[in-house]
Amino acid sequence: MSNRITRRGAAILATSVLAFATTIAIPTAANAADPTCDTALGITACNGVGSDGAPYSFSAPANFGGTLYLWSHGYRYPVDLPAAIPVVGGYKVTSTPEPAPSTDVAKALLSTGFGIAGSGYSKQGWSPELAVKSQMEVVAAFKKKFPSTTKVIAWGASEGGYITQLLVDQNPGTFAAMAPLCTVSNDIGSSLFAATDVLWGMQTFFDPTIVGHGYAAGLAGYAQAMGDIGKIFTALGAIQAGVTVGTWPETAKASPLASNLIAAGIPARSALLMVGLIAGLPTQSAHFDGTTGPGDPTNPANQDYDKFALAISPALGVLENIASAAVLGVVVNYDLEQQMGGKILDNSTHDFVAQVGDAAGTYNMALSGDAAIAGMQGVMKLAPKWTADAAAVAKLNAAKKTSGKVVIPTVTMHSLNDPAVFAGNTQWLTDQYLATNSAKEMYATFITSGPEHYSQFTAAGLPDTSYPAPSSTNHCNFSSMQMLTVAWMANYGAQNGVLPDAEITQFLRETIPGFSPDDMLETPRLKIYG
Amino acid sequence: MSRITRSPRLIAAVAAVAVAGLALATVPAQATLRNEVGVTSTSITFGITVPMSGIAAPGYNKLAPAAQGYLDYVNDNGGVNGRKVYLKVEDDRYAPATAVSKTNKLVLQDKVFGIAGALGTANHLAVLKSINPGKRGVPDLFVNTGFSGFDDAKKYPTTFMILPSYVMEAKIMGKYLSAKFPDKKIGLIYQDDDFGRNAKTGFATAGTKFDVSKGYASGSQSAATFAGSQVKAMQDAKVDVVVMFGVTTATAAALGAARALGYSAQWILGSVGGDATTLKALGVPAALLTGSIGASFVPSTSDDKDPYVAKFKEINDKYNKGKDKTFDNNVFTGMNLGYMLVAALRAAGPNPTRAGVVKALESKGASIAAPGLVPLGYSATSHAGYTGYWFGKYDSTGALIPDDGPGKYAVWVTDSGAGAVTASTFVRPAMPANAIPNN
Repeated sequence: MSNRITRRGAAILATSVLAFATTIAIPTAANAADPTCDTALGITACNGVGSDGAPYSFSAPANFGGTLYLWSHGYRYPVDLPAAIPVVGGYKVTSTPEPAPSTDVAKALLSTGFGIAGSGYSKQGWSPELAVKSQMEVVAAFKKKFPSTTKVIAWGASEGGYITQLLVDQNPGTFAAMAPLCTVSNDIGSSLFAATDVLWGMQTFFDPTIVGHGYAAGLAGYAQAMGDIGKIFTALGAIQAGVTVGTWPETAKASPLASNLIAAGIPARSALLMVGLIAGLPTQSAHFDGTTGPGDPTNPANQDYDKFALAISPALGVLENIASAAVLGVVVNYDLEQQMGGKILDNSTHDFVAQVGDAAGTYNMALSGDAAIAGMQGVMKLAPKWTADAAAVAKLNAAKKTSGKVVIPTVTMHSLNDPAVFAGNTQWLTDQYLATNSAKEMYATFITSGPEHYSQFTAAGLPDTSYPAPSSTNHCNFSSMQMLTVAWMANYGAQNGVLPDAEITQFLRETIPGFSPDDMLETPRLKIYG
Repeated sequence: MSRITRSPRLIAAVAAVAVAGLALATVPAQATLRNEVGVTSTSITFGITVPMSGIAAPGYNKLAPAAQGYLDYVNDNGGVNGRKVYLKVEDDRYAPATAVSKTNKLVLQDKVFGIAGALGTANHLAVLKSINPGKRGVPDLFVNTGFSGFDDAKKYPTTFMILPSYVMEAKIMGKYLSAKFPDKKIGLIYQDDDFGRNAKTGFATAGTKFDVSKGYASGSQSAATFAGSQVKAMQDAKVDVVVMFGVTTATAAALGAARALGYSAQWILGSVGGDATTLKALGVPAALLTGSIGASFVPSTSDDKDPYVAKFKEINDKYNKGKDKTFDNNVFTGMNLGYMLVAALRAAGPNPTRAGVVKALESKGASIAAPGLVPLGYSATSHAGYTGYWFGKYDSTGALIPDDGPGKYAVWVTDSGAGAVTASTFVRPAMPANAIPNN
């Protein structure tokens, strides 16, 4: 993208990676002490540390009405990230507590009499059960400080949505409503399924030196992971630079299988799109709507508009989605491999033809036609697959999963084109609820989607990512209005035991900007479930 | 409301919206009890997505204005049981993702009664997967593509085709090839996607063997591409007869490439890419088209003695508000769409419902007096539209003249499966008075 890694940048990143390797030391405490509190402008704000050292904070206004929103934050990288990585480079591990999804939402809740609370967790990365423990301590501390608390609403985003579901599953009677947003559901395996195919696809088609999985232990593995991120960005940068002509990265030529595709004249962008489609990535991204070309579409002289829109735009969307998900995918995998003690990614049983499915027809032109599709499928069939270590997978599978049961009023929200945690996660939860045939209004979902057209191009007709991503695109990129709508719905459920009537929910879908008005919308189901 | 007032505090902005919603939400709910979605006491509204702009617009952008022109004619003559019929048009630029968003708008925001005449195989496959009209009970009438997969009453219970399938067309064309060109070297240029794959299935069923077969990726057609590969391959192999199974822009590019290469062959143009008016608009000289073979399931648009052609021309002159209303296959197809919509609504009775239209087409659709020269295939288990073709040659004006002479249509019929290709005994019912369905 606009600040993509250059080859030189990748080299710097690879050689200096050890300098970035730090681990965060969080002081541990055998018992949680009472928090320190201050009151100003009618708001009492408290900060404390849990029994395992997790910092937390909570606040409540003078007119506190008895209802607390407990926010579970999402995945934070468990390692520092080199500055050369686009967008997230320079990240330092932090356990800063997060009592609300944003300052605006926090202010809105506090100003209307609600309490807010959240932990920063004692350990970053994928550690939902530790987070559950920390969050329950925050609830206890809040109730101790504000004994008039009568209702607790659990909400959170991404991994925080998963933590929210675990909180409710494991602590019956504690929560009056929940709102898992852009959530991981069931277990992380569904997300790893997609990550596997993206990383494997990048290795198979574009750079055989990408390690992808089986990272070494400790700092050596960290260096491999950071090196992979650099290689992925380098390949993506080359594909983007030559996206109109279909240029392949130089590194692809080292792959005998990819060389066949290059020789056949199949554009690299088609292979990239194929990688995205087998993984289930959307073709709409933060800056590319997947359907727009450069210039004025109504100008008859702009002959290339439709060709770009049909043949190139979907690949641009996937390119940006892979770029934004690559860091997450690599780091999560590295993180989990270190925790589980072995390889966890496995695509040895993936059916790539079935995983593409009808998309081969929808994106036929962008994939360069049936013959090209068959060629790429042939390469994927021949390429060596990844196999996980059974013991590591068993350890991962032993972790608690969310039940999918809806026992309290539940509100979900997901972007239709979330590139990091697919909307299929929320669809899974919806399917679980519908399977129970519950007669009560216990579950409602809001699906967000960006504007129909939002891609922008420079005067030279090149893709432009210099502007902010519209809300309702990307991962957990919700507007304050959308977040407050969810909060209102959840509060209604907490106070009444059921959600508002379906007509009100539908009215909100049709009224709040960025919500799909479609109450029958089914998002694509996760590939892992076939 | 009582439950809402029990909550301690409402977030001000959302509460205002939600409370307003309580009052407003009851209005449409009551209205829908009285009328079906998209139906009022005076009107019925359908929605259509077609490429009104972009590379596929030439020709296809004439469909919707022609259909609405026909409907305006019906509206001026009493409508359908007193209701006027409207067609809300959305431009999809022939892009699947855009077709999905536009259809979404028509169904969810505009709340049309049904989708009509959706165009493009890839587009409509995406719509069916994403929006799933069948699950919603939304009629998806007279899909304007020949992909045989749309004739699946179980998977797509509200979707009805109107064109003969590409499998049917290829089977019939295979029979034609073996009858007319038994000893010739035959080549095939096809679109390398569902469209072309469907055709290859039909040719395989017919036992047609091509000496040379070349695909092109949808949208990749340009004179340079065709000259350099597909058409050149035909020339190099000294192919005598080239079957062109592609869209109109590809057909135009192929004919242009052949001329540039000095390659002379007998061209057989599939129905999708064989509209003479559009080919001419794309720069194909009439002389290049003259003598090429084409296929159709409706009367030749130059056949003024055909009652539908004559009446549709008259209606077109007076009612078509499109920018280009030159009477051709696209205009006829648009009018045919309008005609079939009216027939379907009439079949559903004086107060049509979405479910009623689907049921009526399944039970009575095959017996509707329609403009096509071949029978309709509608039944409870088949949602196939027209089921056959006739062949002819383009004359110097671009008119497709039947092999046996003007007005003499030798029609062949078949199915999308393994059924035989047979000479049709179908006798088209007489045109209803004023060309308005009387079923």
